[in-house]
Amino acid sequence: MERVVTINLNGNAWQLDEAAYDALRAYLGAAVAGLKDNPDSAEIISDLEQAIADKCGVVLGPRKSVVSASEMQSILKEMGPVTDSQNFAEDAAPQPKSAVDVEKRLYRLRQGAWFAGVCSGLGAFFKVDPTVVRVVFVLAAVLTQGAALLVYLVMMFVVPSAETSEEWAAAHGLPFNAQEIIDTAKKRFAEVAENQNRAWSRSQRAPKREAKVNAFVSPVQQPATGYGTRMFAGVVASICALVEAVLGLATIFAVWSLFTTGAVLGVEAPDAWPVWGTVIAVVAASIFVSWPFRAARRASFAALGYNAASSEAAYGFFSFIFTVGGLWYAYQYWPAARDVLEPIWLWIKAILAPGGF
Amino acid sequence: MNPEEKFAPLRKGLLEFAILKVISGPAVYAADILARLQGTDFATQEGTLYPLLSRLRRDELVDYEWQESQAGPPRKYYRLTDKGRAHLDALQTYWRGLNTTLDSLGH
Repeated sequence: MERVVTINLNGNAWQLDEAAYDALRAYLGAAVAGLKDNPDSAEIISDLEQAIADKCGVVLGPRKSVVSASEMQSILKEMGPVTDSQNFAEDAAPQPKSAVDVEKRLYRLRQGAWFAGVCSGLGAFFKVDPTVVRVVFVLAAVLTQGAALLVYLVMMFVVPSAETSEEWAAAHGLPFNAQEIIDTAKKRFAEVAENQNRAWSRSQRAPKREAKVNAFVSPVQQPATGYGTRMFAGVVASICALVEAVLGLATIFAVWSLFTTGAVLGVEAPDAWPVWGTVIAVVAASIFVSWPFRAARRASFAALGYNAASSEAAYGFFSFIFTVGGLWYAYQYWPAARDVLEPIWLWIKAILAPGGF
Repeated sequence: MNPEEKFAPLRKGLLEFAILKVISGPAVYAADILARLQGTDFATQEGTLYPLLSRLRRDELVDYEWQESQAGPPRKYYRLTDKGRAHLDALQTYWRGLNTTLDSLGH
């Protein structure tokens, strides 16, 4: 059994087997990288896609609907490496243009990731098995009483994830060369196929489970913003998320203390104001103050290439972790907070207890 | 080194000339150009041709228009602009001049 990938080449849908898809992705990735200084890059890529689509049409027929890896290889060989004619005149001497040296960089690798790919990325960077990194991380987390988890969280936001073949190569410190990528992709594919075979025989035994065979993927990644920009965006996003979470917690605390004591940190509300009016004023002030941070966080997530939904999800997750962590920390080390939290905790426990209502 | 490899830089430099020459006839689309060059010393591939065509268009030497095709999506048909034609004429004159010079150098 082989996985079939449906792709959209310049508006036409084609089915490729997975190795063919990897080869095509590597080719187009190399093309995008080679044309990165070309102002007409998008148009050339779409022309190339059209030409590949035409060639796919030739190998397919009424009884054949999937392009195989070997067919794709020969199609790509026919297409030839994409050479930017910008520097045609200067580099008249033939030189291998396919190998673009890339600096080795730390990226998160979502492929093979358990969580956010930080350990996979570190493993690739230091050329050790990601499992080793994970074990080290867990040990460090235990020894530092959780501080290493904070490091993980920070890296999750600050380290960009490898999105293109080029970045994937940079994460491994490999020269970016289409053929090499194809070879690696093939090797990976062989591993995946093996795992899938195992999974398949398992699924045969499991009662009626639908195997997902079609994945709709776009072959050309958006040209990613630079490493520095994404790192900066990650830092801004996490700082803004932190500030927002702090503001949110402070607001909750202020409202709580207004209701219970009529004052916030000893400052009493003006006599003329009713409590609910003060609460509304506090909440409005909190929204007003956190607004620029929210805007900056959203902009940073957009720069990182997340869509609105997944950036909100990431933010929700981050602030949840922070809130729970913050509350736990306060409960442990801050007697005043403990006094506030204790009744809430008891109240929750009472509700959750059988017959609590 | 066989002549194929030895003169590769020369061919590479003249590829643009050859392509302008092909386009100077009736309007052609990319596959026509490749087919026309196939089997000549200037045989080339999409990976090289497309970036080159886009640069020629940026330099306003060629232009294209979309035309429906019987099979498949519309195609880009390329033709020379006036500037391109003047450029090709100048190139041809210069090339002939070079040939004359080279012929006259040896005896």
